[in-house]
Amino acid sequence: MGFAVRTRQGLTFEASGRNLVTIASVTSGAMKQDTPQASEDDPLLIKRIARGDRLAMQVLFSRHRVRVFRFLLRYIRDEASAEDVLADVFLDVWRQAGKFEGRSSVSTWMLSISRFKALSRVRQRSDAPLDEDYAEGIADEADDPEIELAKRDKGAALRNCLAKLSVDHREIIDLVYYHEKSVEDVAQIVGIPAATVKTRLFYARQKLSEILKAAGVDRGWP
Amino acid sequence: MTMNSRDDAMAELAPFYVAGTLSAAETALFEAALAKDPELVRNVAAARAEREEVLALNEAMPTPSPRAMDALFARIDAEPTRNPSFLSRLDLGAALAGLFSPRALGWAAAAACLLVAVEGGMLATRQASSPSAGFATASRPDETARGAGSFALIAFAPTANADAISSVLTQAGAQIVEGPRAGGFYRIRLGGPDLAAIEAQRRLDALRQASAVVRFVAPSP
Repeated sequence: MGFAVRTRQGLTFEASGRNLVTIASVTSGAMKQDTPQASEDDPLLIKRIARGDRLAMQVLFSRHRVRVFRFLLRYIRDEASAEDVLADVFLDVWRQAGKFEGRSSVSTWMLSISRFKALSRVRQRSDAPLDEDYAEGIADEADDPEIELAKRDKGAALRNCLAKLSVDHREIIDLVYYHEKSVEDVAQIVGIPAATVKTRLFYARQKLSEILKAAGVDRGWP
Repeated sequence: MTMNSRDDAMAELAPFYVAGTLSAAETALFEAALAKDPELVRNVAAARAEREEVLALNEAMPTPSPRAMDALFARIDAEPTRNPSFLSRLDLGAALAGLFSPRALGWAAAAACLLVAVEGGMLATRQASSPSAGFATASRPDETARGAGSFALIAFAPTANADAISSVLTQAGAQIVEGPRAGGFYRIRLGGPDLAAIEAQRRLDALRQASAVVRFVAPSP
């Protein structure tokens, strides 16, 4: 079992190692839109947005839409719904820009809003694939033929096993590696103490090693 | 090997070290520990492999469709119009904070309030005497957008910041009169009816050459 997303065309794709190359070739370059250098003037954009500057809003949206959308998609798992929530998030940014105090980075602030809105949407949805057990962080450790195949390729095995982590564990791993958030940023986005961020991530990585080991892959740590 | 609390603390920081989000002081401490702890070296190697695959998995995820931006700006259009005063555009509070003591700032704020009141009065008087004057967002075509002159459709690069866009438009003598339209296009005015065709073409070429900022530009009726 991989991480499944319902696409706009009604198709389902699983973010496992098997179909990674094809999809990556379609979406390559998207991450380059949000570089740390490009984000340095985010607070300036927020000031302009607070004054009703639509052009600044478009620049901010273009810069952060991909990362925020993918963050939302982890929870919502349906592209059309995730796009609706994406608009909700940026509408909140438009409305609340005047209240942004700069205590965190703009992207951290937006991911905090995104997480709140995504969890609200998941709770509202009667057909949510993210059921209560899943939301509470129970990992799926079931083995499957993909894992067997992946034993030959450590990278593919790792991708498959990452997809098997619980929502809580995967969330923190994505925030640290993909969104490049510090301990303090993650604490703010997830709403937990900084010490819990570190221990939760450590346990997530230990769990990943256990799942890999169960699949016959020893990655040499811990 | 039994780990003490310091080893535990370092082990927990490995992913943040790999992601480059530790402070300079934390990085120095971590690297000192890394130089003498083989377990930490294995931990970092595992974290690097994790990061690589997490990036690959995220990059394989879909991106939002152009519909998302259209939906957002349609909702923004439906929001109440903001009409900031001239003084608030200057960010007067921040400038004064850097120049005056708190007491002087108080007096300056009082003076600013007075100026705002006077400006408000003047604007109200102008509004009353000129019924056609008013605020319009760029997305709503104004008289300038419908009038004679040379126009073009333009789209900006996703990484272009607002300063760069303003600078390129100013250098080309262009101004946004409408947008964003579907696909992130704006309509710009290159000049009035007296603008020579050759000069309009020169301005278009100047915009095309700013390819780091301008993704697309073409003449528009």
